[in-house]
Amino acid sequence: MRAPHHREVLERLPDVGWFEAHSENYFADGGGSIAALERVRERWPVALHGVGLALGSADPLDREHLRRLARLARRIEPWAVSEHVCWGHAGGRHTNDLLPMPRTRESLRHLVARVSELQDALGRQVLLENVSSYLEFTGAQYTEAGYLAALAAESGCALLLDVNNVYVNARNHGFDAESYFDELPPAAVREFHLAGHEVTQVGGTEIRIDTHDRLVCDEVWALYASAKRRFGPVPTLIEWDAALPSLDTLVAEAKRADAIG
Amino acid sequence: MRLADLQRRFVANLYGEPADLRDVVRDEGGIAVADRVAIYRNNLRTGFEKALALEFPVIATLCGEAFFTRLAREFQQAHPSACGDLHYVGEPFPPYLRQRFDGGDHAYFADVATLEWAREQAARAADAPPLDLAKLGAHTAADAAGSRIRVHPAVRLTGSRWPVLSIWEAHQGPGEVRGVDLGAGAEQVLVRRAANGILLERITAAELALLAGLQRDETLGAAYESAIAIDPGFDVAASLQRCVARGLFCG
Repeated sequence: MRAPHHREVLERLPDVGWFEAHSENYFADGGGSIAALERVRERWPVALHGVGLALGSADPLDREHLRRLARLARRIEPWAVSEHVCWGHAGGRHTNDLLPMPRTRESLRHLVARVSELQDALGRQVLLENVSSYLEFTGAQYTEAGYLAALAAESGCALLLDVNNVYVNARNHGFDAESYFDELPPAAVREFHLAGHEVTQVGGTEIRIDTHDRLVCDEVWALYASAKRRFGPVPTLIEWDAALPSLDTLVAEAKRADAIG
Repeated sequence: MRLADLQRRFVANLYGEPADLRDVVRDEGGIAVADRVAIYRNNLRTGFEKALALEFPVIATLCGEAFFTRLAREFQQAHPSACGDLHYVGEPFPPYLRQRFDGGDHAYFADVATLEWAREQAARAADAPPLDLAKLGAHTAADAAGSRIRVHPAVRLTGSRWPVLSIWEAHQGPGEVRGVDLGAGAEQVLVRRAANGILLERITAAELALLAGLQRDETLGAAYESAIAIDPGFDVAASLQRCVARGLFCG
């Protein structure tokens, strides 16, 4: 759910099951955007998807950010609240990016404590999502999927499985996406994300960049079918955040996802 | 390496400081570590610049692409994003422009940016039911001069010695940007939220003084004094009526 589609969604009432909104886009005290989201919420279930809390950062948790998220959750009563398995700032300087976690026991302990704090503040279980990455930190003590599984087990959070990010990372870092699925606790996966990504070259080597600006590619559709067989038909979101297409294109992608499996 | 040390070093590197990442980022072969890090550094720059251009589209157009990119980078170095919510990156931009272009040909940039930021703030401010005329009467009848009127949270006021609203208007809509005579003089702008979006209107200097006084929680009498100091013929009753009609006050 992006602001340029607010009016059209409310006028045309497209035949989709639910909407997801970036939490931070509705942190305002008042005004047109939050009012539009409330009107959407009157008709559909809504999920809140945070991109800015950066739970994995060692810096202190931003209490004001947390307060605004809690306020928004009270106002919207979302079916799910999700954040990313990432960090984003250090020494007070923010990157406003979803930076990959160094997969160590130390970072896991830190993330588990932060996720627990978030769940306590919101009074509910949250979903944590795997991110795309273009590098890995040294000293990893877990595989990426193993890290997610341990996070879910130790914090009691659920998982938002971004199938595109699994595919992007499998290609970027050379692992097998199906084995990744094997390591995840099936009952913990409560939502899927699908998105388009860009294939580019750096110094003659291919790398895939998570861009959310195009259609889902065939390989990701195939992987999604496999994920759906393993984890069940949990709600699926088409993420499209840049070079926004028509609402019809988005609805068609959502219907394609529904028809699979 | 401890999590906090690793993160500080990585962020320092992204912000262009000499912070060695060779033992921090795994050498996966194929793409060099420095090139992998460069993807994130590029995201940091372009993401910030994009967010700034969305908040200050007129400044971005006035600058042109190449100059705006340079300006955004300088500003980012001076004021790194201090919040996980990108909506705040522009907050220090108007004062930064004021200091950066002080006294030069681009001195008016700061006032245009102030107006653009006022729009952003007006869009995000709290909702409040507007005050109606009958209530205003009851409010002020007993002791008009000593009463206080609450200005709606979404009202913003900005004045400039340049024609800032004319400059802003010249950049709206499709087609060529119309030229604006910078010597055309001062403009005071009222920014408010209406059902159909954020509206910008020219107001007189006296009206701005009245509203600014009320916004600072001064009494109507004190705010009126500031207004007639600018324009001795200022008609406060007519001005208050106009304000109520536009929903500028709340209960």
